[in-house]
Amino acid sequence: MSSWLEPLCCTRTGAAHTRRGTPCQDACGWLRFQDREGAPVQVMVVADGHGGARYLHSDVGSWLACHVALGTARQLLRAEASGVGVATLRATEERWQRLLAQELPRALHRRWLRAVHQHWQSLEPGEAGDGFSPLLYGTTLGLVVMTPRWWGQTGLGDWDLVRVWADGAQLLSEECDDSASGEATFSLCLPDAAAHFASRSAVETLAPMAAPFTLLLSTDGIRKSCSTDSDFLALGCYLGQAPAPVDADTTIDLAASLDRISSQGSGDDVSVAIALWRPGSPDRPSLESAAAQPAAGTGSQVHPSRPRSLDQRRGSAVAERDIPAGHPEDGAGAEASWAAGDTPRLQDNSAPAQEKKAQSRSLPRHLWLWLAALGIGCIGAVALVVPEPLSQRMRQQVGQLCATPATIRPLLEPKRPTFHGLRLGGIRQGQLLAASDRDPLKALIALSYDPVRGTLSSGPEFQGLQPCPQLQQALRQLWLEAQPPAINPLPKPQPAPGRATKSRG
Amino acid sequence: MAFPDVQLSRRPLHFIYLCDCSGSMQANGKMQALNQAIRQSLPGMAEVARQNPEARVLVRAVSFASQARWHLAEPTPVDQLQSNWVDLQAEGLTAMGEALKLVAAALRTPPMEQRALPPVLVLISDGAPTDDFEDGLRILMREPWAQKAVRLAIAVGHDADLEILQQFIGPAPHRAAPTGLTPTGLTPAGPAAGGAAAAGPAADRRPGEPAPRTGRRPLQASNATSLAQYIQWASTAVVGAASMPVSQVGASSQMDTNVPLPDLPPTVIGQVVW
Repeated sequence: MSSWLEPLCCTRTGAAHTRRGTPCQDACGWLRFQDREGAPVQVMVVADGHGGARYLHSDVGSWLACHVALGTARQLLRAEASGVGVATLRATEERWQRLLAQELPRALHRRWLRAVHQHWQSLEPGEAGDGFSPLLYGTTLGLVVMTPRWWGQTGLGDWDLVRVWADGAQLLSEECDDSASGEATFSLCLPDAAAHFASRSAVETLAPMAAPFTLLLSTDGIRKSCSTDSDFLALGCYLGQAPAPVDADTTIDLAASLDRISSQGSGDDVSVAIALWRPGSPDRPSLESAAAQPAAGTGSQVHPSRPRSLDQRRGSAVAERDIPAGHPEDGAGAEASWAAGDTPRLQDNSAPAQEKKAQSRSLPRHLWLWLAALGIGCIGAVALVVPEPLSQRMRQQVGQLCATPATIRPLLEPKRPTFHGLRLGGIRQGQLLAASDRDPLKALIALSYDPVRGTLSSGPEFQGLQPCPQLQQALRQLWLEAQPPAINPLPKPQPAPGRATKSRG
Repeated sequence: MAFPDVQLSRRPLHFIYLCDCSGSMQANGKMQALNQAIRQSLPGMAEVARQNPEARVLVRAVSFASQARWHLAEPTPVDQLQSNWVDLQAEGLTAMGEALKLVAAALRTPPMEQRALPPVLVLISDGAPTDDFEDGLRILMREPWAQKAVRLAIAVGHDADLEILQQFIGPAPHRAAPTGLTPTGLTPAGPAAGGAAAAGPAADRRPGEPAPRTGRRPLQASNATSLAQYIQWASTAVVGAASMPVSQVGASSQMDTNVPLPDLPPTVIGQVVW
């Protein structure tokens, strides 16, 4: 049976955004799971926030688009049969075509709207602006589904999809340029966004003896950096022929190539998601073989670009967690039900230093040390210096809560947006700590957050307050429930001299 | 595998002046003021180009009098233009329609690049066309790049045909400007006024909804100072905005310009000369 190798995703902040200190608007990621019949399914996504004052939070919008799209795809598609072992493949394909063109867009659009609204609600008054509008989060979204028998695409906006063979490349999908505006694109923030997916939706059967090929899904920053479409396809051939197995050098080379494309081209943020299909059994652990392994352990947080042994993969799956009680089953909440083995790999270069540190939760310490040795990424522990008056207020807050443990959970529950905001980067710890007079409970939540591990802090600043076990347990649980999917940043090459590695700001 | 030999390029931003050089521009120093305004704007435009290296700002100019012709035919990097600008001369009629046809030919692909940024077209006139303007406009607007262009118009004096200039830049604002016109014919710039893109009352908007963009009007210069001010604005603020475009939501009623136009600078209320 044919197989898809594990996708390779990379987002790089554009040269112009780096120079201006503006946030990266791109995001990308991928996810694997099994369908109803146990057949492996992979999904990869890219998104490009619109940027600019009118779309103030579109960097968050693109990240949430990837996040929600992967989660929604999994939830819908795992209940389906991809056609392995059934005779009526055509009927199955038609079903999936309908799913990609209609059902998935409707569901993910609805969830994205809820997710961005939830993010907006988590903002401090000064950041929230006049009022909520999906326009603030406008983003494109491209999505590719891969199964052993067929693959499909859907999405909206100005992303591109290229197929690369050994002897050439073909532009499979692009946004129709029938607009009078040079930079206009369809967006998830449109009220009728779901209706615009159909024109970019398609399903294609995989011939068992066909030649291997690579799918390259990219945001518009790459194509707009090329003088002509011929140059773009030539570039696609280069990017799409990443060696397998992918190793750290490959991902560093890819990041360097994307930086070069942006700096010599459009200056825009650039993202690619690359997946290789080939007939027969793969040389390295493929989706199929990985999916066949029994679930055990919690070792899924390995850098996606590093080769992973079967043992590591075997250790990557854990028993599926239920959606926590009371957790909204939408947006980020829906993804709380993912098994760790299905953890989406969201690659996002847009996080600020603090958020990068939060992202580091997904990597084992030895990998961080390895990355640190290479000078890669924004990693390291966060040293929160808590002034004494603030510390006293925190102690009072802790004392009050621990004096009546039954009140802990009811008091913390309404603060869920604060947990989510800190995790997503929409709320900064320092802001809450600075406003501790006004809201000491939020300040305590901020102090309890360990952005490196993405969970309850074990540092002296929080533990020094001597929180009771009930408070620690409640906070730990809420941080767990606020946990977005694991983010596995690709290693970064050494920044060029004089060029800051800019992330989401 | 070595990085392929592909042509990566910064996206060109074509800035094209369409300058009325009819005989009437000789009156009251209008031609002299236009040349001076363009010259004075070039260093600022060059600076904006330096600040936005991802865009290659290329300037051209069409002059139209009894005939239209390229005054500066080659797309010229703005930093090469500062010492090479040749003054425009005024004489003859107003072949504005023919000028639009010239520009239309330049905006075809090729020679226009596939990956260009939306061009900026600035039409400057003190009168009314003496040829078939509608035909020229029709031919121009057949070109996708003309549709995508940022089209601005500057009326030099009160004899300019504002209706014609309005046709060039597109639909007029839906609503009246929120305040009265200054002697230069402009709404004072400000957060809500938006200069060339006048906005409606904030009270009509839902929370979070950006100010509606209801179209633009021609800029009306009644003296050399305001003319210089508008040309400076077009060649710096507009070029800056066009150099770093952000995606816009397609099929949106929010969008009436291909590039969100920056606010005009505060208007100096000066003497009405023209």
